[in-house]
Amino acid sequence: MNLSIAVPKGRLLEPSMEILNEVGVDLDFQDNRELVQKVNGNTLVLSKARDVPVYVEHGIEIGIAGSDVLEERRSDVFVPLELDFGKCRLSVAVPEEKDLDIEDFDGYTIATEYPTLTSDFFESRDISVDVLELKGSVEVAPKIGISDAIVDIVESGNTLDANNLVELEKIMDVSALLMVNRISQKVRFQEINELVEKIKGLL
Amino acid sequence: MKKDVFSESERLDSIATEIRDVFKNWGYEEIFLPSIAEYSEGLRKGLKITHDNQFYVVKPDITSQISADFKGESPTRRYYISEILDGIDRTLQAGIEYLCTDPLKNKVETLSIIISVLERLNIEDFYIDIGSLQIWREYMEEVKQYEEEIFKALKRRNLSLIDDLPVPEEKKDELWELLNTRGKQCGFNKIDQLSEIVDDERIYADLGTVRPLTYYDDIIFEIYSSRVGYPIGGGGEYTVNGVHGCGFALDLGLISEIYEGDNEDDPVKIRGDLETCYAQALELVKEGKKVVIE
Repeated sequence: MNLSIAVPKGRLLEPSMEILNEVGVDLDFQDNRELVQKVNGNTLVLSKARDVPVYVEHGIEIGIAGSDVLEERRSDVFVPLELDFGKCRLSVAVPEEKDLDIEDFDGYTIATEYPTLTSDFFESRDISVDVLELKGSVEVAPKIGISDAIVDIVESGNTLDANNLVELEKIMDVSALLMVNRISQKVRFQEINELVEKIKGLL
Repeated sequence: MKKDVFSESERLDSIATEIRDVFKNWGYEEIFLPSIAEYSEGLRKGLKITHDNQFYVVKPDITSQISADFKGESPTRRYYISEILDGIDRTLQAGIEYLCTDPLKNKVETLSIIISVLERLNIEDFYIDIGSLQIWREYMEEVKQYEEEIFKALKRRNLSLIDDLPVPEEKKDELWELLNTRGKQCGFNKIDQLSEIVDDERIYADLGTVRPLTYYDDIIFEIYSSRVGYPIGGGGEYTVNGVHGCGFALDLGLISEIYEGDNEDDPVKIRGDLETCYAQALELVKEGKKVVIE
């Protein structure tokens, strides 16, 4: 189809490749360190999940990433489908020894990889917090005393348990999404609509 | 790395010169609006500030500013090349506003000028999609209570959201059909008439073009090129003080990304003693030639 496609490295990579292969977009890529590969006429971009929406917004035709990163980056892309994998939630969690209610968070410091969504959530509840942006392993922050709570992805809850954290409140449900560049949707209208319909048929 | 302001300005100067020339050839006059306007609800975008307990907007959207200042003279043809702020995000825009009593004429003229400008800039691989907000407003009438959710689904072309809408199946099917109505003709007279009059293969009827801008009445335009991931411009029709307005704006930052330079002759390079140099330059400029004193 000669598409440019951005897929996330990490836990979403395998199901993303599976669903694309099933609809005939063959992306049997070389598992090496090359992050942009030509595969069967398509251009495959292997990127960090949080960068996928940005690549799609700037001209990569199609991408798959979580709704958490799309909402955090506020990328202006079309999102024709929610996919049936990558299901988890973005939640507020606190050290288990703290008996807290969200309404008591005024003045607290929240460690997170999602500063925009965290600020929006607390602002919507009229609670003033300091947001500390970290890149990964945010569970460490309350342990070493640099934050009072975290906002992070919760899938099974095992990581929270292992770090003596308890989930206090869900901010949003998260799922993998199919994203399409706004201009590609117009320029390759028929092809992209057909691809979307095929993927929809698998869900 | 910071962008080279001088070389970028050189490109923008070249683009702005061409665009200004086209606008003037179509009989438009430049409008110079104040950078800071007193806050009013009708002003869109801009950077909102307070000063001496008063609210102001710095560099708001030009159409909303012209609408706020328009006193009802007709017809009025104005163009601008100006920076617009949206918070602290800045865009350099070039656009026109045409206010007249004939709503068909001003849309045809607007489309014609878009084509003129882009062709002058040697950008031939562009497209103009024409959409209709009125069609969507009519669709919403029966499902008014879900307007917000429907617009969210429309803005993202989201099938999953459409499937989850608490509206009858036939309304979902109708929505999906409208969203995918795209082609040279779409069966809606107002759009089809426009693309017939402005007969250009790069114009498409596309009902999936939705711009949630409050001041547009019905017809909207989205201008794009396959070489840029974003729309390079947009516009539409509106009403101000009972007069029909239509206009468009191009994003010069994005135009600069696809602009490949002009076809003009290189300037005549002059060197020598100052007196002779400048005398010669004066003569050449009088003849309409470009000069550079080395």
